[in-house]
Amino acid sequence: MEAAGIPTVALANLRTPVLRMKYPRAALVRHPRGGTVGEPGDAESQLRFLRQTLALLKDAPDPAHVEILNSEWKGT
Amino acid sequence: MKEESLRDLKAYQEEYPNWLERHRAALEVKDWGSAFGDYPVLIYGDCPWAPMEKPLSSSRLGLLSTAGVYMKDDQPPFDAENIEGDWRFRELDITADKSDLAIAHTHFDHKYADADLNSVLPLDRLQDLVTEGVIGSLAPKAMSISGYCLRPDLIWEHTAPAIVAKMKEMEVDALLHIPV
Repeated sequence: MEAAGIPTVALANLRTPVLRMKYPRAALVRHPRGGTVGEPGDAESQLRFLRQTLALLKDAPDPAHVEILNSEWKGT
Repeated sequence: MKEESLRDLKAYQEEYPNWLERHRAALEVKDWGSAFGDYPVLIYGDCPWAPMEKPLSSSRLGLLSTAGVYMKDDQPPFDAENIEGDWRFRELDITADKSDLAIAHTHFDHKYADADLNSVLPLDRLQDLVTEGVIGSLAPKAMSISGYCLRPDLIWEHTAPAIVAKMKEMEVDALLHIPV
């Protein structure tokens, strides 16, 4: 995608594959599998994670940048 | 795409058939733990980089999900029972009713997505961000793949170029990728 000129950013919760695959820009959250974007029904948190992730399109300082987002999964 | 980005594609292709035969029985009974210990993982080299030239507020954003979502009345589900996974992709109409979307992916718990699909595929939230003016517009089709696929060579050779072509066709300026 990047080689074709399209900047990309990932929102992910699995650290090892993100580091291994060298995403051009990635935001990491501490969310369980199946809940990458945020807890069900919590639109406010989902929006916050998406805003922070999308900001990396411009703000990531260098290739393969990984930003750890401040995240906490409250549900069970 | 540049071949050098994927350093050991050839090594993977040489090792994979033997790995598959060694672990076929384990994969068939979903014994992932014993199968994946020596899976020939690809080692990625340099990271391609395209700078973001436009403000997001005037850009068209594409979405790529690995949650295995498909449009259940129009498309076959991903082949979730195939031990090698499913390397093909589906195009999702971003305005589709949520009841028209289903998940065919047996490697993660769907309970959060069942309660709120936005937890894995945030179509409503991205629309909220368009309404807020954070994002200019959304590509009309989201691209959907299944995160369980043991054939990254097929993704590399077929799926990824096809998805890039779709994104170009929709005049996408930037892409959000949400793996599961």
